[in-house]
Amino acid sequence: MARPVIELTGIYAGYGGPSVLQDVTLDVGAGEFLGLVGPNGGGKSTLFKVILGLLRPTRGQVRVLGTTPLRARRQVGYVPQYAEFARDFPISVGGVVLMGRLGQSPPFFGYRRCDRAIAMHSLREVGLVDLCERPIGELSGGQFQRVLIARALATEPKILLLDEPAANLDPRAERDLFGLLKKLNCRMTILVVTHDIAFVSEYVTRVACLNRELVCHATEPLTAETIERLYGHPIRFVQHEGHG
Amino acid sequence: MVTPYASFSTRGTGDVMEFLHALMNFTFLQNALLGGFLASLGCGVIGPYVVVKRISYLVGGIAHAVLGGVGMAYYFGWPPFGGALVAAVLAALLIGWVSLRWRLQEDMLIGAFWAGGMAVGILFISRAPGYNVDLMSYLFGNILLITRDDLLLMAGLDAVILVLVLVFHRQFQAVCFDEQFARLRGVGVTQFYLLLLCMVALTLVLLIQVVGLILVIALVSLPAAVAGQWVRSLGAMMLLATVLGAVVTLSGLGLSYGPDLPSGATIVLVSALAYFLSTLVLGIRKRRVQG
Repeated sequence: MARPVIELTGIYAGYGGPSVLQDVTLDVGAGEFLGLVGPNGGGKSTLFKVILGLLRPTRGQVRVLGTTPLRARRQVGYVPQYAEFARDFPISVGGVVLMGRLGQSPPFFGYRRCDRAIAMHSLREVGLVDLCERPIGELSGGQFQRVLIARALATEPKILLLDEPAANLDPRAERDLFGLLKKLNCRMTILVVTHDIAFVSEYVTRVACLNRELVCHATEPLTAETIERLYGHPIRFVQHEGHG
Repeated sequence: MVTPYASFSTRGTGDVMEFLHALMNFTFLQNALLGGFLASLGCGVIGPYVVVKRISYLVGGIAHAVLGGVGMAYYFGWPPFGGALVAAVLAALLIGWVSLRWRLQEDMLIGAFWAGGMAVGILFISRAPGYNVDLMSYLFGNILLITRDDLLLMAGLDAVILVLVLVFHRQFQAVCFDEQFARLRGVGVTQFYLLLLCMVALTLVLLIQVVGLILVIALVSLPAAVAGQWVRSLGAMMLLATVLGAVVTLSGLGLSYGPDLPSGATIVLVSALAYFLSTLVLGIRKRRVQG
């Protein structure tokens, strides 16, 4: 088997206080579609920060695409939680997606023609090419989520990280979203943080459960016992919470 | 020294014709108008960044801290314009760095620089040899005292701001919109944020002569805020804010000229009125669309 695209070995990481991540070891192979679940404060977003090189682990080793997170950064697309954005920012859909070209394009003056072509292609992939000129303030939550995905696609990533992409989406928009991710998974590795355990298991190839130290590789379908062990109590309902 | 407008104060309430007539005949008034336009260009281009990044409080802090530099310049006998320029850039870098480093205490720290800078300025000016300083013109500006040399300096500052925005507008936009994503794309977020604040500092120096450092924040943010209510891109905001700034300066100058009111305060009041009206019209329009 080829070398994993993400290798985390014995990671400890935190923000000055107690470690949020404790002894986390996880390998992600090329072409995987990994669902990352776990309770609030379980370290899912922190894990993304470590992979992106935004947070240096206090212990342990990170390799992304066979190199350091900082070097691999340009080949990793990141889709943050869309609820955190000031939606009154005066920018069009096309303008947001073009930002994905910043690292690739020369640093001076405007974007090149090929940057624009790539941005348009990304918009077409998420099905929003008609909204290119639309200000972001006029979009629905689901549409804006797709714009952020298009921005990440415009970076032409090998790995795509999505943080709570389905938070605040209605069930139909959520299904559409995961359908899109399934399609993208044909050519890139995808990691997605989510609360909705039952829902993602239909789409992902593997589920990793994260509650500070515990990472279980559930290659088989999720069982009630696994979930109970992770959350510490039985869960009867599919949870639709806000962001964590 | 007699200020140029003092000789007109006896004319009573002037009208538009009188202002236009004076504009044709007096160089100081032409200089004032040109200075107002040059300042509008600077704050029209920089104002939208300040508004969308929501840093007008931070910019207010820089503006007030500039008095410290002006005071020191007087005390040590340096040219006050140079003192203001150096102080503005230093204050921008210092406040910017502090606000990045201690984000949670940003509010309090800016307040400390705001008042501390002014206090330093007042102390130095009070000890300045001779004490013949027109402190009021720094605090409240005097657009009618703008000289040809001032105009050249203002044009130079405008040119620096415009070139930097033309070259790096994508990076500035990305830093304002989503710092974390910009950092992931390899944009030096800290450097560009500080560079933006330095450009804000240049704009403030441009404006101090026009409205003074107490009122400067109004002219940076209000025209841009009005523009932001009507257009949906940063570029359009810059264009509209520049035009609005020029209109506000011209009408403020015209209104203050006849009755001999302080020009800076009149200009700021006109821009505040414009913001109020724009908000009102927008509110009415929104209600009509919904109803």
